[in-house]
Amino acid sequence: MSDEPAPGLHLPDLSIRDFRGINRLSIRRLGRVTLLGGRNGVGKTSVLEAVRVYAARGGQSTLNELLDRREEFFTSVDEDHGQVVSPDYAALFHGRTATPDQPITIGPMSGTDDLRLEVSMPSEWSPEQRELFADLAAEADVRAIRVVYRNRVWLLPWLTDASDPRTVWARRRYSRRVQRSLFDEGERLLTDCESLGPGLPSNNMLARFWDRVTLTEEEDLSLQALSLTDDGIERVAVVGDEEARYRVVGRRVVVKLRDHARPVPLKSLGDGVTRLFAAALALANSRDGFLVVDEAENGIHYSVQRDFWRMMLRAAHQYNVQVLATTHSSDCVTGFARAAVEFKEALGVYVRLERDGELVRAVEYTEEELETVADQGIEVR
Amino acid sequence: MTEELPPSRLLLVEGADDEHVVRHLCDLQPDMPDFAIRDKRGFPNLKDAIGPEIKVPGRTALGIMVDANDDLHARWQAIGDRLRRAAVNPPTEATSGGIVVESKPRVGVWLMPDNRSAGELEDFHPEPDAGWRPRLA
Repeated sequence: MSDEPAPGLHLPDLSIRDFRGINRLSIRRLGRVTLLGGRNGVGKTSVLEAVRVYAARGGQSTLNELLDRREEFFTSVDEDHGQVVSPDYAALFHGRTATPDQPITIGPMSGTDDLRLEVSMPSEWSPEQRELFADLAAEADVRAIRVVYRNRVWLLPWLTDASDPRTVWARRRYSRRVQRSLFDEGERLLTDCESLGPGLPSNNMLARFWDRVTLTEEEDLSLQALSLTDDGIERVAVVGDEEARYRVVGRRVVVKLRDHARPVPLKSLGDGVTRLFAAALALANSRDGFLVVDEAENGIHYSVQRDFWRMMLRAAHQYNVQVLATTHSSDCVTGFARAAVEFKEALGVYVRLERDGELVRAVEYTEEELETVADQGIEVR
Repeated sequence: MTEELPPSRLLLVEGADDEHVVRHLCDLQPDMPDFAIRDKRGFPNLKDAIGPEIKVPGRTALGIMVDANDDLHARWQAIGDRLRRAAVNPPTEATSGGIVVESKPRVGVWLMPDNRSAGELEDFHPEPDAGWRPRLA
């Protein structure tokens, strides 16, 4: 066991500034799998969100999804009288004080590869940028989020008042142009980042994951995850009921049980088995990227926690995925500790976040300490 | 559901005998602050527990009471090493009154019998007027 960072991680350590609930936070060492503990409201989920924003390089769809999940948006009506939802980017900034002198920064502690999101006023824009916003310029209160990563800079329009339908329309057009320019880059700029929890994964998500692993070796991994429970699951399939006569059901996962002639829905077997399956599938779908898991212990019985983490560590190592997860459960930490000590190939790190006045502090545990914690039942949450 | 929080002040000892002696001494001191005692069943376990026990959420004081045995210096080195790994910086040598490091949490170490001699709990003879008392508060 060493204190050296694991090689080949996207983020060997992490620094976050002025993002959501976090004023400043440094975690000096992240693992192949990092488990985050700490009290409610300390900022665990904000760390997962920060990693998602970092992986997406401040991409608009990720920002919008995070804000949407917390109902941080304005609603307005477009020119066809349809309802339009506009994200409130101020909510991304610590204390909602979205001012040009207080940028969000997320990235490794070295600061060489970090992502910066800052408020940008029209007076700072180049003629070209102004041109992009021509339709918006008439509006008094148009700002932008300037996203800076490496030597690239792009602007996300931000309407603090989305009541005028013309501005909504212009924003949509601009977004498409920005997205195109991001994806047209020859160099791969984005890192994949899948996200699970805290609730159950949607059927859509499970079906999408399954489509990408079906009839591959990764399919076996997800079947192994299902064998952690003793439900007697023999086979898995995704069935589509899009043409159901009375209502649209969509696609869903069904399983063949040893003692049943007909398939039953996966979700009928409970939350735990669904989450195990989703976690394995998500890992297989996150090759060379990130996976964030909020409230990893949900629905998973304490007796399978160790096997669950063994599966996570092995698969994360095999697929080169960096995993960050949160938990409130000491059984989860104990299971994680035991699995991390056993499986040396992948570094497992436990970090507790604590409020220290205005700051959030990271208390870091080595694998050696985790082993003692598990053996002696010492509190770490 | 509320769970009991871990004790904010904790003394680590090597065995059941140590725990009994400390409890007895505390009974003789009317104004002792409240603290918990944990028997770590031997020095190897106790030594490994130092880092994690320092990091326990809400911990304000950690006491460590161990026997010096044959080599006081080696014992002190072993403890000091674990303290430094947990970002607590103790002095390089033990001092006669025991060691108190004003860190977060505060850490106190007592090497039986008197922080100067080889020996163990059985060699400890506190003098009533010597002002000896654990500083865990």
